[in-house]
Amino acid sequence: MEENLYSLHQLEALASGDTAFVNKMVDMFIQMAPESVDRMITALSEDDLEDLGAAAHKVKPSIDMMGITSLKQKIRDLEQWGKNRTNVELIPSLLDEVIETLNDVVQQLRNR
Amino acid sequence: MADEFKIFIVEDDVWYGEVIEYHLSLNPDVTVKKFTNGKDFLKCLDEQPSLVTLDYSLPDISGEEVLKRIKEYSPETPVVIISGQEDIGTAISLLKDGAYDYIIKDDETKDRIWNVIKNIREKEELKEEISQLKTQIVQKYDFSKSIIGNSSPMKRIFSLIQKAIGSNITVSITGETGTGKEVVAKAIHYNSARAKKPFVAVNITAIPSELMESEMFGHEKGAFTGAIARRIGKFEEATGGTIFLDEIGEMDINMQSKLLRVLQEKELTRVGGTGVIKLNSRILVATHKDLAEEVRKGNFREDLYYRLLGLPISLPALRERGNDILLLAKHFIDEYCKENEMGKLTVSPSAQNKLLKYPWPGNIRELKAVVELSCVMTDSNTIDDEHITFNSSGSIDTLLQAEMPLREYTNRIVKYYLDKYNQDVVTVAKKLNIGKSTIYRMLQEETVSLTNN
Repeated sequence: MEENLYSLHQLEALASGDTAFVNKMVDMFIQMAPESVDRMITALSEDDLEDLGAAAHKVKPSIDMMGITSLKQKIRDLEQWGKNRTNVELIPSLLDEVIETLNDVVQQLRNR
Repeated sequence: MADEFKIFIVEDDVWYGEVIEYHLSLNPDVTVKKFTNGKDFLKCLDEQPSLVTLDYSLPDISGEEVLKRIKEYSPETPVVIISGQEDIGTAISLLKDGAYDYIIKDDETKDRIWNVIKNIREKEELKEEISQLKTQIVQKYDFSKSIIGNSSPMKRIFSLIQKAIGSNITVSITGETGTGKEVVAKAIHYNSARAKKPFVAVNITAIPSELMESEMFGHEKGAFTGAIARRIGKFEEATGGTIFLDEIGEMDINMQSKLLRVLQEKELTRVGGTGVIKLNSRILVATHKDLAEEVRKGNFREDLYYRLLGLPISLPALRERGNDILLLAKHFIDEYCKENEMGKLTVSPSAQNKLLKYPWPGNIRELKAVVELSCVMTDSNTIDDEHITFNSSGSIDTLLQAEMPLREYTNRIVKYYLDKYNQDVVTVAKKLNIGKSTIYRMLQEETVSLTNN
């Protein structure tokens, strides 16, 4: 069994025993993460880096709350680089890493 | 607890909006409504939320624009900006535009929102309390209740007060001590258009003359030794409201010229300051002195006198108010009984007579003290004449104001000395420089009598 890439610790603390809430939030994340991924891919293909940054910005709080620590800094870099058009040459590979992790997380959450 | 606390969450990130909503809904007093874009939210502004949390980056309208629209619609609604990133420049400009707080989305966001809610609720409760207290004061000084009297001199006073209420004119109130000058001043203020703004009373005699200027006009930090901080003066404190200068006749002549300048220029400068502050306070003054007489004597500046005269209201002495004495006595007795949770007290005819005959040198203030004492002295539910004692400072004026026949005066004086000197006729005759036989004759005619100890 591979190690979980996420931690529901924060959500559980907030829910204080209300598992329905935790499940609801997990389901929402499973549904929304691919949407964010699609948006970022489209943005990159259209060289709309600003929208790429905006999409990263939007998904950031849920990544933090879902305890996906490996993406904590990466999603912020993506947000800033996209917004400011810096390190443009590094963006595609960074985005690939982020997408891979997100997909893995979604997979793990599905099999939870 | 106050009414339900309605929070509008404007957050385009559905996932995060859900988290905030869940967190805030844990408190049963809170109802939450979510919006994912600016347009939908702005349509519901008329539902008057108690708090709005606003995501700075919305898909349709910028956070700044939404904030502006909220503030236009209802400036009082607190708006907390919740932003994904720290941007001090944006934060400052939003706070300047009226945002209540600026919170970053991170682990502590939830606790910060709670703090904000707690503060806002406290603030709302305080506001509520203040407005209640203000209404209470206004009711208290509804002058048909605060000023009691049916006598013709008082009817004239009422019509003058009514005129003073309807305008902004300076009013000068004169009258003997205890006639209710401050009550009249408050009645004017709390029934005027300025009622919701401060009423600031300054007793000129209570302030040492060296401190007067800074008390009245304020001072800047470092204006003089000991001025460790800026201080707002009474005139500024009364901005939009009324300043009441009591015992204006006692004002030091130097201060009089400073006051005159301020009244002429309609602006003032704090001591040690350079900035000019516009004067916007209504002025009421009072004195027990005859100011015109003080002007003649050179104690009061003539120009200031005319400037302050405005609408003169001269309060009658209590002894000139006939039956008002009984009305007031009844009022004070009822008030005292209510405050001390006693049953109702009535005043016997002989006690009423005693009250009516007394000259009341201390006027209403003295009447209040006398009747309150009588409430304490009586053991039944009736106040009789024996319960009424006048302990006025006993000036000769008081005695003269009683207007008794000379013979009666003589009797009283002799009786007073006999009591004082232990019924010793010889000593009393010596003190008063009259013959012993005079006293004996009075004793014989029973106009005075010896009290056996």
